Amino acid sequence: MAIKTVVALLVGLALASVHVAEGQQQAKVTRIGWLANRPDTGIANRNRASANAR
Amino acid sequence: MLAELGYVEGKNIAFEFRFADNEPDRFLALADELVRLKVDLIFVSDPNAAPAAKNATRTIPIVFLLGGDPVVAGLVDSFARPGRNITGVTDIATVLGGKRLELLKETIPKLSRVAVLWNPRTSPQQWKESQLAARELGLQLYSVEVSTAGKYEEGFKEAAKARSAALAVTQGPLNNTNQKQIVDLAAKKRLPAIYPRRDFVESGGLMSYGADRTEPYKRVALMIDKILKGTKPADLPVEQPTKFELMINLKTAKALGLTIPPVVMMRAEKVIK
Repeated sequence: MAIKTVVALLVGLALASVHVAEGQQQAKVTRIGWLANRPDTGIANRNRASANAR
Repeated sequence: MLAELGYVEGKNIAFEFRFADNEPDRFLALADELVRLKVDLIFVSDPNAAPAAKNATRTIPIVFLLGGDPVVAGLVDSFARPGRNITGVTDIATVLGGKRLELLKETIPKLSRVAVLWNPRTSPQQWKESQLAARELGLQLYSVEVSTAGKYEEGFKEAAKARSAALAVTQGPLNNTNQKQIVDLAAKKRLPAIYPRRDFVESGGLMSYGADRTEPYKRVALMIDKILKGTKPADLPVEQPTKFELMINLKTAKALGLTIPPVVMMRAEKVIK
């Protein structure tokens, strides 16, 4: 379930980033702030260590 | 698959994760930190994170995925017209609290006393809704308030002392992250329990009823997509799920000596045998 959830979210975000990039001359890195109690998805878990390290 | 779609994390999109780790007072500082980093959008998935983010910025778009009523929580003006820089998806856990009690009563027709496990910090709306539903169903509720992970054992002891014959678990970050402990305690106390998410049942819980977990994330993703393409959050109505699922664990039912009535079984989307 977590994998499906993450894939669904990232597909949307991927599409978003593609559309944003298409409208610009230079590729922009879209930054999403993710504010939660604890990681609840694979992507959040994967990035937990780096988030806490900052 | 993501590469095929042209998405490369760190190349054209990046995430800044901030977690409060069961210390909701930290959300204000964490939200401020994200604002200082000038992120393009803030995604929140905790009832305490949403107001913190809302207070931290009036310009950066905020998208939430929450269980309660965002109007009652003061996040948006209305579902149709959210108002400011914030919109999102609610899984209407508030209303589903009553539905879960109804399912428990259908599963155990003689049921009269039910313990409700809720967190006063994050799920007061669900407790209120449960009380309303209990009156209609003729159930007597016993409130088990748990706001830290160390209080579950004590809460279950209290519920047993109060002769609760079943348990309804509310949706919330604390319960979600402590699901194994909750499921184990319910088994230890031999309490038939209904949970807000299917992963509790996959961990050995008796039954769950809630919104399909994938659909809200898809809706959130589409919402973020629209905002990144220029739509204002104020113009995106708050969305609600349309798919709900009942899941039953027959192994757990057998261990509890419980027979699930056919009328309930027929409605189950998934059954663990």
